[in-house]
Amino acid sequence: MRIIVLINQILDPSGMTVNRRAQQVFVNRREYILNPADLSAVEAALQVRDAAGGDVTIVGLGPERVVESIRQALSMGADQGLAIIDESGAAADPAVRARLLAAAVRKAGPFDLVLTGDRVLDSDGGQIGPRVAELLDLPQLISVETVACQENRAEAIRSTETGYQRVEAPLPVLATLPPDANRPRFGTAQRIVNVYRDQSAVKCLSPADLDPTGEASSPQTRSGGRGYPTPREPGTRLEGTVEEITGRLVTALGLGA
Amino acid sequence: MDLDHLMMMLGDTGEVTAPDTVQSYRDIWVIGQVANGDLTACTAQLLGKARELASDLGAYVRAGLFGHDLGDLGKQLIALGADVAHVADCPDLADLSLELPLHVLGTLLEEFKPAVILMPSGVIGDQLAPRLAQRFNATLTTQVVALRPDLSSRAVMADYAVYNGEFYESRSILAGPTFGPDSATQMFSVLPGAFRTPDPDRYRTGTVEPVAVDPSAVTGRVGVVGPTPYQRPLVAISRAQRIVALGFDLGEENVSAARALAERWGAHLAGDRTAASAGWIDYNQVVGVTGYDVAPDVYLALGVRGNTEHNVGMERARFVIAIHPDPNASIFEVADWCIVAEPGQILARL
Amino acid sequence: MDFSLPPEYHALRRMVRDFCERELRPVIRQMDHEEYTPMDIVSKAAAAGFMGVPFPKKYGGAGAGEIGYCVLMQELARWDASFSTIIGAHVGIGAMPIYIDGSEELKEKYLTRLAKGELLAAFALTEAGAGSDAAGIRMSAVREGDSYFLDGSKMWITNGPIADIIVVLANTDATLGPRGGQTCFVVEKEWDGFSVGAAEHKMGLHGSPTSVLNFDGVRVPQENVLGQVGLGFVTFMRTLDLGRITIGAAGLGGAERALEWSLRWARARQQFGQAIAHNQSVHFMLADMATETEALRSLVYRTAWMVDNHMPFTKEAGMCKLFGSEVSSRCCDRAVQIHGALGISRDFPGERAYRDARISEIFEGTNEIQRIVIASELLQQEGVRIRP
Repeated sequence: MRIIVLINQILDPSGMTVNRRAQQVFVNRREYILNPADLSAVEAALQVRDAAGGDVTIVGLGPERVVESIRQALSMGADQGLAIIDESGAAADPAVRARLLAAAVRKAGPFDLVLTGDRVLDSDGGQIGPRVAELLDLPQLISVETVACQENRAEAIRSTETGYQRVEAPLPVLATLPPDANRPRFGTAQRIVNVYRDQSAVKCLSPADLDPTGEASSPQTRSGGRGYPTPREPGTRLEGTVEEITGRLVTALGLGA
Repeated sequence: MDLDHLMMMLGDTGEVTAPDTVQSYRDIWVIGQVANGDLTACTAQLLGKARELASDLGAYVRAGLFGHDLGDLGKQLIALGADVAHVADCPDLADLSLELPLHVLGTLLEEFKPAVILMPSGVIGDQLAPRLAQRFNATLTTQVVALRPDLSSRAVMADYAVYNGEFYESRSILAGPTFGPDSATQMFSVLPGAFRTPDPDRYRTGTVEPVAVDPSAVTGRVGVVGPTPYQRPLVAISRAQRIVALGFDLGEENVSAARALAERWGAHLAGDRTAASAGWIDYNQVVGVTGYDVAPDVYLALGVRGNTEHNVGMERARFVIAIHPDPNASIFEVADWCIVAEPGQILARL
Repeated sequence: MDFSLPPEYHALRRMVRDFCERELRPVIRQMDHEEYTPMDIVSKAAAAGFMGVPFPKKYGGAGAGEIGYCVLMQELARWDASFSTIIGAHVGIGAMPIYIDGSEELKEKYLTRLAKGELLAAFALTEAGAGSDAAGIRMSAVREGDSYFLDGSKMWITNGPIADIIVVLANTDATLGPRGGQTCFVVEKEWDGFSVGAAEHKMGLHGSPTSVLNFDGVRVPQENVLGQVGLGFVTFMRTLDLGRITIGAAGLGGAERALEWSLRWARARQQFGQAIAHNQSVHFMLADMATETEALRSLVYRTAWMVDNHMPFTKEAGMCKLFGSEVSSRCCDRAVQIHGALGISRDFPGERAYRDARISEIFEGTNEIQRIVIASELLQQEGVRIRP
């Protein structure tokens, strides 16, 4: 079983404060973390490997610091790491990102399972999973809670409006997981030290290695400018009869039916 | 400038017919979503927004809908703002498995070359849209909360939510204009509630065109095995998205109702220190200085007075609803919705 | 000059922090209120490799050295000083003497398993009549053939009730005293004659068990002599030197946390129509806490760096223990003061931290002894020799 996990690195939201009134994001502590949904994917990959054997390759795309997050996944027990170092920011475009990641997956060799998070907190990167699946012509299992592989099939559990549902698809397959789908294991102290002191633990490529013509890495879109939700106005009194208030609550909480 | 645009500028709103050969990217499309036999609110909101964009940019609005037993939902799409509704009604489209809808939409895309497609986020916007975008080299922005026409380039700019909606980022296309021959489709998957829901106009006219579906054209690779029991691992309270918090003024007799509400609403049970002293919650469920910091999307405080030691632990909550009988309770200083009432009274009717 | 920690230490810190948040935090209150020792969390800590952080890889450790060990202790103590004490007593003074002076056979037999956390260790020096004055120990070790027989009892032994092996100091020749007459032994808890006495009920560190250990003619094979016969006191003192640095690291964690609590409360708590953060009296406390914490951080990590770079560190280690325990106590005291009445509530973690901090000024060599150690190191350079 060869498993590839695509990961993203984000600025830790617990280290920042968004001030809607001042229309500004204050970063109190600049620390980059593994995107929470991708962390679920790493744990799911390790579970599949532990059950079915094989190895797990972590593929990350971003500026140099993405290597840190790949190392984190390696310290949890992943087998190999591959970083595509893009300092240009072109990979902020989802299409470019997907094309580079798909190229990296192909380069990493034959595979049975590609896993990633179903959303990226700091962007609209939830499209990466399906886009890569399209590029590699894989069936996709999106936002599944668990993945297991038996023989040539992947089985997953996904949440639907009417409860949980079991779905399956033939390997190779791409699956995405939501944050907190599982309890990611801790890296061990020993593996952390090993992985960080081994300079060759993560293999680094540049976008040019994967896309010599530069065609795949030219973005179609540009991100820029920030907006903020309207500032909260605490203290709105809900007036009316108990029935009216309850009615508004039922709607607001989505408790209808 | 393409012909459609010119006609719109000149005020011509004549009948639209699908041309035999489409060279140019044009029209604003909305892909609708059906839930419980009706169009979702988000679909209506998208149609309303599509109309606005269409009049700014000069375009027609087409709607696409797929599913089974769709009845006269096509007409509803017209009433909500579509000029043409393309409806694919087929038993094989009943469940939202991916491959067949993808094929149906792909065929429409190839035939009509939409300039802009708006989709509701969810299965369509998050699972179908990215594949479609990749297949047809379209741009896609998901988690969209705002759309603006860029009149100079005749393109659409989008704001999308990052960090669960803490703030927004903008995305625009580099190539332009969107409308015309040398372009690509711009796709947007929009969060519900981003736009106003328009009032349907039953007297609007438009055409409903059935779309032929050939289920044998694709072989699905993802199969549904069936329903299964599953228990998600419990998330720590500090990462909970919904919290029902109890305070002493809730009253002992209402605790079980509050617990039941938390369960039904899929929320974590929490509370202030007084609730823990009363034995209603565990000390590991206390919010504030003596317990945990929380940052849920919605924090429902029932009879929580709102002492500093509590409030400091929930200041990162995104929306706070507080129910307390005392109008001067300090919880109301940090609540978005303040309900001065006996929590028990409200609970009994929820 | 580079004051930044290499990235592996940041990664280690993040892992320990995650561990504490997820595994340790839910049981901290129970540990304190019920004097409960969470052995399941200790096992999980072992699985995450905490027990081997400073030891080389060949003994099953992580090879993260004294710096890594300080990172571990600092982060553990941020959350709970009881838990950091369990780990510290095991790694820093239980297993450490075997690593420092043990024979290859002893290391293979015990250290590897200790570093993996398969066995827990305790360090037994103090007796009813001997604490700071280690020379006054009464426990005897009498040689018969290829074995020693240990008689006596040890007091205030951290990890005593949960330890699988005990590193113990006994007199092999009482007439020679600590210089030549005391020897260090490794004792297994299953051996005949060994028993654990009553557990102590302490002011703080409720989750870290402390007890009397009784040795009633325990037969110890001579292979379990740690280091050379007669030089046990030296082994113990070298172990304590290293242990002292991590008392400083743990103090740093506690002090940092006290400052965080205080800052938040000062900002949130309203009195006289404004946040108490606007009061100058509160500024002074916050400023002092922050200054002392930063000074402690520099001292601790520089001393750990000296250890990892094979420099003499006895004086600095004494300073880490002395300053670290005092800073931690002072910061916790100020945190309680800033929190007002809430500060003494047993629901407030700062209240527990305040009680937990106090012992650091006493154990592993009282702060008075530390001052003697520091002074004697200083005066030695002037040619003055001090006999404690």
